[in-house]
Amino acid sequence: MKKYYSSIVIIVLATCSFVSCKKDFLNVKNIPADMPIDMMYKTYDYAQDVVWKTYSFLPDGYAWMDMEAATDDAYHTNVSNRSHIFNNGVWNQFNNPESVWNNYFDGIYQANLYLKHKGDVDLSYLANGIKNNDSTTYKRALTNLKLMEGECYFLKAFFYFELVKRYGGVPVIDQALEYDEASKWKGLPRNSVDECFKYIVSLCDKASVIIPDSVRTSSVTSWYESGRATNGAIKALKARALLYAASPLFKDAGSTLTWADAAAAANDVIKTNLYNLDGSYANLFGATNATSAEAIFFRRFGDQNWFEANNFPIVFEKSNGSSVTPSQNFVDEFEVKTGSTAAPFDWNNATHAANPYSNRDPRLAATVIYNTATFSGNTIQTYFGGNSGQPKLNATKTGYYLSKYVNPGVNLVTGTKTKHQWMYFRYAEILLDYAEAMYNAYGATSDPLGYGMTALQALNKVRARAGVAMPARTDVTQDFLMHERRVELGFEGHRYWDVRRWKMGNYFRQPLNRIEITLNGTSYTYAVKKLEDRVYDDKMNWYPIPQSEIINTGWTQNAGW
Amino acid sequence: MKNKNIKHCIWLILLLGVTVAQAQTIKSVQPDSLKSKNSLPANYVDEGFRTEQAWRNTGSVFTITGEDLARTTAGNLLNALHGRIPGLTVVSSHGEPGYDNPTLYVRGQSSWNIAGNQVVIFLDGFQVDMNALSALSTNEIETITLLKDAAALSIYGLNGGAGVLSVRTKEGTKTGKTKIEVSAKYGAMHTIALPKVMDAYGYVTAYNQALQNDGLPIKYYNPDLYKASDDPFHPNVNWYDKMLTNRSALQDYNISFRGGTDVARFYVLGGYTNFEGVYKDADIIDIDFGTNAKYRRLNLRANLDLQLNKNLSVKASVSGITEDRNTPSGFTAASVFSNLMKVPAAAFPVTNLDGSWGNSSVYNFNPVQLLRRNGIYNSHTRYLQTNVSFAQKLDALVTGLSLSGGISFSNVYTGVYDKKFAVAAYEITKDAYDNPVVDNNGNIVYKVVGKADESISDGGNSHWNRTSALFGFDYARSFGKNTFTGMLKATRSSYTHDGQTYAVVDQGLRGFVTYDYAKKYIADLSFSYHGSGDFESAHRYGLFPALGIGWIVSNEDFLKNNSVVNFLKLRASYGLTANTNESSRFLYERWASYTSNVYVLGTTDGTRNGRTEGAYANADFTWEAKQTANVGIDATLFKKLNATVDVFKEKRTDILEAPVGVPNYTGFNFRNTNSGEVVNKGFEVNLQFRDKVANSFEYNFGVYMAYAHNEITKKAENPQPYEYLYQKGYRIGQMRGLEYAGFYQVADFDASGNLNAGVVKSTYGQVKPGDLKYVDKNGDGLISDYDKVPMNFAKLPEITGGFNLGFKYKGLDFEAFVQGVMNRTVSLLDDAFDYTHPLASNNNITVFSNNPWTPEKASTATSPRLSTLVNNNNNQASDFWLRSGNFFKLRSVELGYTLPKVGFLKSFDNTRFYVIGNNLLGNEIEGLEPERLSMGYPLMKTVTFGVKAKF
Repeated sequence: MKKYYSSIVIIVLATCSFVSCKKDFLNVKNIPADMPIDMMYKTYDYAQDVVWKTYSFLPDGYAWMDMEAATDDAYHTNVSNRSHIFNNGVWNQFNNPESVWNNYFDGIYQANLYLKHKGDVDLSYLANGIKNNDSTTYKRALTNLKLMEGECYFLKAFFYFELVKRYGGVPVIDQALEYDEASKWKGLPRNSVDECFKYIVSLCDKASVIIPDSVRTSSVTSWYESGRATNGAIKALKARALLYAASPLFKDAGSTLTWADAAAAANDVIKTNLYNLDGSYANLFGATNATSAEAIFFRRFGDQNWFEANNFPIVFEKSNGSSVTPSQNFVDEFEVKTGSTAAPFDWNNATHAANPYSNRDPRLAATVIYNTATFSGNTIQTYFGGNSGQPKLNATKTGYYLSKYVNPGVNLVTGTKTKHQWMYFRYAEILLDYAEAMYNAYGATSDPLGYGMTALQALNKVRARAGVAMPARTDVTQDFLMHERRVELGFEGHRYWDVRRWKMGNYFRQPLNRIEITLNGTSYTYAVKKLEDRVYDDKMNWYPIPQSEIINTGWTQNAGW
Repeated sequence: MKNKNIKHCIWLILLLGVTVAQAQTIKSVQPDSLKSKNSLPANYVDEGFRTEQAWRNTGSVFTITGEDLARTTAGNLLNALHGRIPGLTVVSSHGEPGYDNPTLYVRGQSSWNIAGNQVVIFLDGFQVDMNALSALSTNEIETITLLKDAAALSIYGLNGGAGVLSVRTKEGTKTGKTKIEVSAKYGAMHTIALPKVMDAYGYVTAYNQALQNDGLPIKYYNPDLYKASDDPFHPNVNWYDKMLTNRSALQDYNISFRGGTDVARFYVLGGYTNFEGVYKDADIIDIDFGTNAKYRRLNLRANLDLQLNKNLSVKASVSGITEDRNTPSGFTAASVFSNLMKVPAAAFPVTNLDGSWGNSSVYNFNPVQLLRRNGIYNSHTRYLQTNVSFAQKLDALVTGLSLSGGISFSNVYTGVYDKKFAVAAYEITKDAYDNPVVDNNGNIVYKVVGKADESISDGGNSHWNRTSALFGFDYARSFGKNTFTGMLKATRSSYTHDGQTYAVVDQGLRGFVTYDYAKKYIADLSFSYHGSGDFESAHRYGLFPALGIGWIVSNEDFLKNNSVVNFLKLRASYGLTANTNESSRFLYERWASYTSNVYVLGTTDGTRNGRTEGAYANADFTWEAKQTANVGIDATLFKKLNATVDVFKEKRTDILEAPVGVPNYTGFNFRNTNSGEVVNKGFEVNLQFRDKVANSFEYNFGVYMAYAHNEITKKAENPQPYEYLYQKGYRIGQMRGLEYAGFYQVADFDASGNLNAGVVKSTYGQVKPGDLKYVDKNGDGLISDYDKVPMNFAKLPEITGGFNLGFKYKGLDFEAFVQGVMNRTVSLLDDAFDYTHPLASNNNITVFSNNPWTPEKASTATSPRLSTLVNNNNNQASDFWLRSGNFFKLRSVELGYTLPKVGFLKSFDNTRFYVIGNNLLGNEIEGLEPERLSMGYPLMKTVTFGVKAKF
């Protein structure tokens, strides 16, 4: 038996090592480095991060700028840009390059999470830490949590509006959904357009009760950061939403909201008396626009220069030529100002045609870089053979470059950056919203509810901005309101939606025109040429619901798709 | 030879000829069940956890010896496996010495997650990392066995689903004598098929033509200047010539001691390997070391077996390896070779008139300068692999029972240092008419590119540790005609490496029972009960059983002593295996998720972070399971022909994928779920013929063919408007694209350049004459992604095959082996974009574009019109860019001479001189090397001289 001693020892040792090392060898994640969900809601700092994440679903206006090239206002130089898919009419429920369905429903889900768990935050460590009767920190946290509730209502309303203006009626999800509670999320129907708008209005009303007018001015809430939603932002969202709801496209889709409702909502913003038109139109799109008296709601991006790298005329080194370039259709919209009169631009007018960029509405120069314009210290030549013109690689094909929001202070070679804030709402838009709503509700010169301004007065207020000073109109027409919106709000993300809500798709069916400029000695000759034909069907006033969603819900697709 | 045999031979040759013609391919090796060598008892096959007598094996396995591997001279052992094992597809990486790990696939692919290199490696019965195998010397290898079906693999449980390569190193002998073996190899490597680019004149004329096509003014006003000579202002640089040598050297030396007695046996090996890169004149920075690519390796191994007493044996093995890799600093070989191709011959001179380095701010890559004056990057890797095991016979308790156990520890660490000696380069500025700009003093105006810089940095990267242990019982006993063998072992393994927060751990029980009756009927039941720490505690373990049955027909009375059928075995198996996946662990958990910098707030633009509820857990998270059925035949006919045939079908289920089906309006996010399915089918055939004519002439030849075809049978996919857009029903990695329909011609356009009515429009951009036209599959008048249909095959070949031929005559021996693959499709768009897309994005132009579309050559052109602009329409996936990826390569041809044992040579057992050529012949695809399309560091052909002496 002796010879087995060694093996018995081995058996015993080996068995011990297998069995006794650890309780369970496969439990490797004994110290999880991840955060439990309830801890996130419990902890004040982390709960705030839930709200910041909600903000992050807001659209990035700079990144969306290429979609202006899917309107009659512009053309995109980059052959691979998504706008060409829209202009060729080849987008649909299977392939929509501007598919935001998931983004905004994710945003709604995120807002609902905070609203559901807003009471979970444990502030006892602040309450217990009060020293010398100084409860500032604790009170501030309490206030902040309450204000964030209002912000979440507002953001949710914002997201719903983004959805409704594209897809029409979508399901209204008032409470946070749980996957385990299938009955609450499975088989939700699409709410009607009317219900959606009313829901947006109710969210705005809830939010504006929580976030006071004074949130950015009162010393009690002086810590409320620039870029967070204000009372004015909430009212402005409601005003724009109601303007859309009263418009023909949404009226036809069953909206019961009226132009009078829209006018009242716009008047609510105006009568806060917090906002004024900026004395410099160009300032609204520059690095300091956030402090403008006209700014109502904006998104801060900090320092960046990619938008300039895309849109600087190609005479600048490192301009990459992925540019949104204004079209001739857009440039022709700007009036010619002669003394105290203004007239539409007309190529058949020899004076106009000889010097097409003279005496134009000053907003043209602030929006568009045209041939011989000075930009960032350079004279930009867009004529054939010019420093930024055809046939240079990546040169503009329309004969224009974009100026609005493109900061000439950036130096692409040295890589300098400037502050960028994208303006979601500004006062001039509210005045134009008001003008359009008042005009359609009560006519050009009537103010039956005593708001203090008629449609005509609101329109002329915008035109009279210092530095723009376009001659006052004596009458208002829907056509002229459309003109003024296109000129004042060009390249700010409006045209794409305005044409749809007005059901004026004909604009988008027109060929897109360019200017061909030829240098003859020291003078130029101009010829308007077609750049491309465009495809636009009326069904495109609405986006198709993504096909995967149709399959997963059994909903009826929007008409025509 | 008898007439009868000759007839059979002719018949066989015809059969093989047909097969070879079909397979375009060739190869050598002996059929599985009959392979046997050296230390394993005769006719045993190594299956990692177990060894089994070949005739009792019911699984599909294939064994290759170290000797066969030595027929390929490769710095990386894995690259010696090319084509050698039916059912193992070796996909080459690029050819840079030391950075050339290939990707391995067993029987193709059966999951889109478990792709290449998931084959599990067992070294002497313990799992090791893939890299540990690549650094071994062929001299220390006894055998490498590929395990393919469930009968062989279910014992590996969660590690068995993608196949196992089991490697055995050499052991000592019991002869009482010590044998010393010395081998030396010296060889030369040559690049295979470098891309051919145009010279300076060809480039500038093509560039001018492209500018004209784009409606732009020309750039080179006097192309003839580029023809004349290579002056700095009108350079004509062949970058390949400036950068690369014709051949580079390899050396490999080994010495081994092998011997022992009944009590102690040993095998000791020392090896040195050195592979040089192809860079030219790379010793400027450091005359000793230089910046040439280099791979230098030292191998040491000691294997020891001790018989401590009649019943107890102990085995210990230690392997230490160091590797030094050398490359120029600051860029990879991939970027060197991409730039050799991309920088036009006319771009800039290597050096300017004043001797300074030339460059251009457009390319900013002077390959010669960077090689000679940028720095050295060196990485040093250490491997340590050890294992100790024992076996104790317990016949005193139960006859036939023994106890065994072992532990293995293996470890790798890589450290790097990077020395930089950068200098500036000077660009000759030119005016709009291609003339150099001269200042007022008449001097050339230069623009400085880059700057002088000197720095040193070091650090460690990849490291891993793997510890595994096993412990249990073996049993073997016969009762008359009934023989039982069996095993039951507990195993445990822990693996930590860079990139994994939590150790990868698994443990389980493995075992088998094999029964045979009278060596005729065999039943083999094997299993593993295996668990992984990746899963939730209640769902960690799975049972993976397999049943194999065999019938040795030739042992039946009716075939006893049959002159035709010497051996015939029919076998079948069915069982389960599975895979875990290191990139998908702990999917059953749900946590809060965090994103940094989601929003900016405050007048000072402070960034804010975001948090939310993380993706919903996959509550049923489990492994990707595989069922495999295999039927096989092993046969020996006429005592000369060995044949093995296997037919298999695998079904992979529970493949991880993103779920679809929950509406997105919910805002829910989910972890991947186990829902995909793939079916993989195929066969392997291997025939080997060996005969002797008289006493002095032996010859052999053989052919094999392996086929594996997979089809996705279930996949979570979003709804598509056309059936052919789904991945379901097609191969993993199925090629797809638009169907090419010639070029747009001038007649397709009206006078103002718009397409005529009825001609298909492209949604990818505005087309011009000379652009690619496609078939409008869905008939909507537009070419879009909806017109992209499945085409041809995938890049991974479905058929691999080989043909081998050899003879021995007196001291002379000869072996040749050709490998071929079929059912492979390559896309020039994916794999050779720069080679086939001239001029746009500052690209060069190659011979691919020497016949571009022009109005005059509208009907004979072979590539689209030249343009300096990116053409989105032409760059779509389409069959215009697809090529058959079929290829054959003469993987090895070897001629050896063994000295006769006369005179002083009598003291030597064996002294052999040989010369081996690898990859000397092969076809080309578009003038490119077929495996890698000549992209990146080129693959090499080698000629090696060697000598091996044993005494």
